[in-house]
Amino acid sequence: MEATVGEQERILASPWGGGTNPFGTSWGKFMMWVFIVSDALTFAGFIVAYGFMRATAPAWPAQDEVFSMGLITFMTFALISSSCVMAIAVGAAPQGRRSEAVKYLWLTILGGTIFLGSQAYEWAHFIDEGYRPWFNPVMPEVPQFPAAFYVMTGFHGFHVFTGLVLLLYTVIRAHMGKYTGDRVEIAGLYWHFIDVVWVFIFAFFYLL
Amino acid sequence: MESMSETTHHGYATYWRIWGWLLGMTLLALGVGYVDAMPGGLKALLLVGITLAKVAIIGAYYMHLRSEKLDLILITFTPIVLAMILFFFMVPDAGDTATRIMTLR
Repeated sequence: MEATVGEQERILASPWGGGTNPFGTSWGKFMMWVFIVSDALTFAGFIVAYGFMRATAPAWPAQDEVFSMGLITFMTFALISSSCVMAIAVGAAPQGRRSEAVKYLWLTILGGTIFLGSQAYEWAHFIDEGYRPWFNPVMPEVPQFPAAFYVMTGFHGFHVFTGLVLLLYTVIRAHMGKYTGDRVEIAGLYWHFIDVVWVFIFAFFYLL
Repeated sequence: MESMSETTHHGYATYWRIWGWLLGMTLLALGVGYVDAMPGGLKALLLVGITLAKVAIIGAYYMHLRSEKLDLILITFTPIVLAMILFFFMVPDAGDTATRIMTLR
């Protein structure tokens, strides 16, 4: 019995004994990480499905003939820059530098809005040219191409939109003085995740 | 908390430096993507390498993973590992065109 009691004490004293944070984070931040991991699996499924479709397709269009790579590079620049200023906002918030955090949060929102606006422009152009999720006007034998484009960039764009809503909520709360460094960091984690997903889409869909 | 001390001691120079690296790697990937003479396999390998490097530095510096506990860092690897399992399990189903995954374009 004594050994059992000792074992119980050992467990209770461990990080998993209850009453502590085994991952060393707040619950909100940890839940955001759990969400990011599960959401990354969704995008991993898309990317693998895209690879499969592309490997089995009879041909594949040259991306630089379909898309404006200057625009895509500019969009990437906007998103990477917004990630950088978001990181600065996350650094300023817990130190009580509210006006600085707010300023960089607005810059992040600006970067995200530029990205989303550019994507809307790209979609409008693509739709104008007759591309549909089930039809490729240039290479009718490869409808997988526009399908992959709409699904991957569409889901990513929706995430950017959701991220902008989250950032607006965060910055409005910050203006009202009702914010904590932890909340800004949680919004930041989501925003950086959007950047990570775009890094994959940029390389695998637009460049490979 | 290391992120806080990092910003206190070094300002935001680290974040801007990472931004520069990310932009540099983006341009490098763009260059690799449009070198027509490069074999497809090598191009794919380089692009995957550059992409993973970009993701690693975003995770480490912007998402502050380098100052998180190892348990949390390991959890973030699960999507990559599971995606690789999914990818390699699907390759045989692509039939005799499977090798084209590595010789795109």
